[in-house]
Amino acid sequence: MNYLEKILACLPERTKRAIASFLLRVPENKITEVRLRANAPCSVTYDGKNVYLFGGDQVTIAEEELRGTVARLCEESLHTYGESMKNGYIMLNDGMRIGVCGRAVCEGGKILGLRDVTSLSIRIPHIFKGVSDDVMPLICGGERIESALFYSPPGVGKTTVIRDVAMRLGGGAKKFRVCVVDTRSEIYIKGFFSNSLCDFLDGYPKGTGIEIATRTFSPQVVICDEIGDASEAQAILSAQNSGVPLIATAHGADISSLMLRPNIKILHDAGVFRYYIGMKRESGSEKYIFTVTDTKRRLE
Amino acid sequence: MRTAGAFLLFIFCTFAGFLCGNKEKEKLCECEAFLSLFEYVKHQVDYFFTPTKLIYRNFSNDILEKRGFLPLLRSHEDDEVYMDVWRTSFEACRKQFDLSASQADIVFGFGECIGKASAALQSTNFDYYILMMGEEIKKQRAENEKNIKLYRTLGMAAGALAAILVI
Repeated sequence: MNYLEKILACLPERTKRAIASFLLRVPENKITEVRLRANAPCSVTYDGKNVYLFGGDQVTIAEEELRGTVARLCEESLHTYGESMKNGYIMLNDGMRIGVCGRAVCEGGKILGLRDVTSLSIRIPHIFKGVSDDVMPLICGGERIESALFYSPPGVGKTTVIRDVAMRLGGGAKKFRVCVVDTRSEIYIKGFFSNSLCDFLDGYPKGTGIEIATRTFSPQVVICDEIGDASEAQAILSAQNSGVPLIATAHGADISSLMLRPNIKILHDAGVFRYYIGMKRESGSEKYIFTVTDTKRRLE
Repeated sequence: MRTAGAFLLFIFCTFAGFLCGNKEKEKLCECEAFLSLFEYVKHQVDYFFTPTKLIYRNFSNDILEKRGFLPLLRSHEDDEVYMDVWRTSFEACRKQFDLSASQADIVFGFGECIGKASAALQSTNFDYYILMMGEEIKKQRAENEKNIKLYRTLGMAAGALAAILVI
């Protein structure tokens, strides 16, 4: 069963049929997201375009059906996903992430739980090999691995690229010991890393994960996704002091907006990253366009 | 010939009385088996956050194994879509159990709570059903004390009466 088949099996019948008929017109690998909303139209994102799902008329989903879908996606184990649901997502096996919106139950500003799920954003992971070809010479072309920060707005494919980077570093001709701090279990995909020297710290908070990785795994490079908060910045700084290069991603439209984020600025001032690599992808294309800023040469 | 028939009738009725008594005993054992499963499930959810599919993997209980309930629960480990397995498994082997309607409702009710809420909420719900099953066990024990004796005495008395009538 592939990702989409598994999702379809968990959806209400009408939505399932509408997606199945949609798949007759659009190739499966073009679909990046299925979005379900309680009492509102369901939509599909393909090739960067958002379209409503039609099954005769617009497909909407009832609250009860949405609840059932969540239960089926979680394999009736909501308790297992409780912590990640508080953080707004459910991470299933094989790197499939489902964003969850609903009504938060809070106490003292802390989210205790989630009730009345109102939206699900089911992101379908795709494995693209070789997407980091253009930037690999920068990262490991020299004698040592260079630290790099990939940035782009959400949904461009940062995780796809660093997954490929991790694979190439850990499983390429010149094999490195790679430690991947996979906080949201998004980078690891079953089978993809079977021939590599990648160690995964799955579910660890990034700050703690980076600390543990550098202290106990003696990695030649640490990779993590979506950095940005204060504890992560602190952990990255101390890892940097131990000489372990870091490859990470962050949300940001361009380098100036990236520098407006205080914790990224701290890392920049400390000279953590040599390369800032902006990412773009043209609609309908699987090819990434990279914009490289070398902090040593100030080349763009 | 008549004496032999009367003797057989007496044996048959006495045996039936003992059988009814044993049924009551079985009911109690089944309730206790479910109670231990309930406790086990609670800990798996409470402490280990074990996914529902895998909760039953390491639990063993002779009664639940023999009735086929545990093997049925475990047989769904590889399901791509996992849904209402407790209910369907219990329905499938309901006839193997001697549980009363209220005891069966508790078993169904407990299953409805597994995996359908956060760990804390499930734990609270589990406690409720554990308490209910505990109460049922107490009630069953009290009933057993009088019922087993009653069935046995009735069986023997009926057997004796039938034997006298035949003779």
